[in-house]
Amino acid sequence: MITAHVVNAQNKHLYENEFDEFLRRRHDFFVHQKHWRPPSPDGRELDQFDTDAATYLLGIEDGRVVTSARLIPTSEPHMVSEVFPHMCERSGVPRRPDWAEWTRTFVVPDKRSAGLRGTLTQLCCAVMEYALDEGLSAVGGVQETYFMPHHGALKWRAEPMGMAREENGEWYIVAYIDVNEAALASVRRILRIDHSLLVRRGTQMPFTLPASSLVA
Amino acid sequence: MIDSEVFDFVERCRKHTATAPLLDDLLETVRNLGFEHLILSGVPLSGQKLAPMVELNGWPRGWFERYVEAEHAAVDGVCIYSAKTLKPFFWADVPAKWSDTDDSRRVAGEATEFGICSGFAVPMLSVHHWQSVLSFASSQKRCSLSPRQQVQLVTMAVYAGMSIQALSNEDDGDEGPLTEREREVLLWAAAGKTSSETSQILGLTERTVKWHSTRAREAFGVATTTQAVVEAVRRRLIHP
Repeated sequence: MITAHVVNAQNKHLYENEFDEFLRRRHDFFVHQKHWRPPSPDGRELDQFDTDAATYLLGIEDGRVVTSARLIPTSEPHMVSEVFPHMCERSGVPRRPDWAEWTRTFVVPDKRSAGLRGTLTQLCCAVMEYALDEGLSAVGGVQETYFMPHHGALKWRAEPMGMAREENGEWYIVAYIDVNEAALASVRRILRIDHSLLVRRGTQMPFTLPASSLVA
Repeated sequence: MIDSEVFDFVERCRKHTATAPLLDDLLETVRNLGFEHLILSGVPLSGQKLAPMVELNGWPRGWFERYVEAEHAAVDGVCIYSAKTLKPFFWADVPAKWSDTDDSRRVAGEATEFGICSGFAVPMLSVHHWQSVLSFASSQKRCSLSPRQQVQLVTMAVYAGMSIQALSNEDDGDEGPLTEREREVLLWAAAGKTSSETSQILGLTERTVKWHSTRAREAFGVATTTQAVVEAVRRRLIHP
């Protein structure tokens, strides 16, 4: 079982090694496996959304970063608003501090088990727990249509912002998952746990704090 | 078909509490795009039986029975290709390597007797199987969808797939298909041990070891222990 460490601008210095490992794994996954991004000479993958507005959940097991999530308030510039706004033809691009965009999730190859009680579900559980703790109403963003049934299996409800669409040979949809107690209870029931997966070390900051106020 | 009908389907989809009404609703809705039949199923890998993997069966009466009886899944190019791609595809675009065999052409020929002439398939993640596929069938010789219609169909397919996963029993498959003992027996088989050797290693009778092998073969619907080992590795249940 993973523990999910909450990493943001205030406590990032406590996670230098883990964060570097995270960026290398991102490079493995998004550059070499998915070919979504060009290779970077230093073997780390970063994009324009890795700012102080982002909060990361690093899923750590046996001392390794095996999975991850990046959460950004949709009131800040985020991938859907900047790159995929055309995929929200039904509802428009959501811009709400209590709606988080969820991106940059990978699972290391040896943890990609079939079945519903694996690392991916554990990460989903951590994201839902964090979102509830922080008072968010929805988490989501652009996702591969192929993986959407996983939300169904967790009994999660995902609201589409527009139609599924093919971009660069893969099918995506923009959808946001409802955050509520029932969603957390159902994923915990599947994992057969009733404890928290989150670890918060160092100075904590609320998710919805605007990045600009950090300067003061 | 207009976009709002698709989103209406998405809304309804999440309210269905049983598979039968979901199937009827989906059949009714995709008729507007020229599809009369559909099936949503886990994709059988070699040796696996199709019938237990089917989640929505909207195939014409008689065709499903014949397909299963004749074990068409093993030679049908559309079915084989459904295990090999993550992307939605027209049946007509299945690479010749799988669609242009005598057996696959024979299956396609038989299907026309049941009004199944062309189609479109949407592969999706399954938590129980290798992956699943929602395949839509049309009686038209050539299935044509505008780019917008394709987008509409994939959107509905994805939500139908999500709903089916939500309806499936949550304890189903949670433990994985194998017991601890069955996994142990397969692990020793993977290491080249005979039933007799395994029985000595585990301190069991040979008959018990054979019984666990049989149960493991049944769990995967395969004929030999070697196939069961391959399947267990492929599903990451054992790490020899």
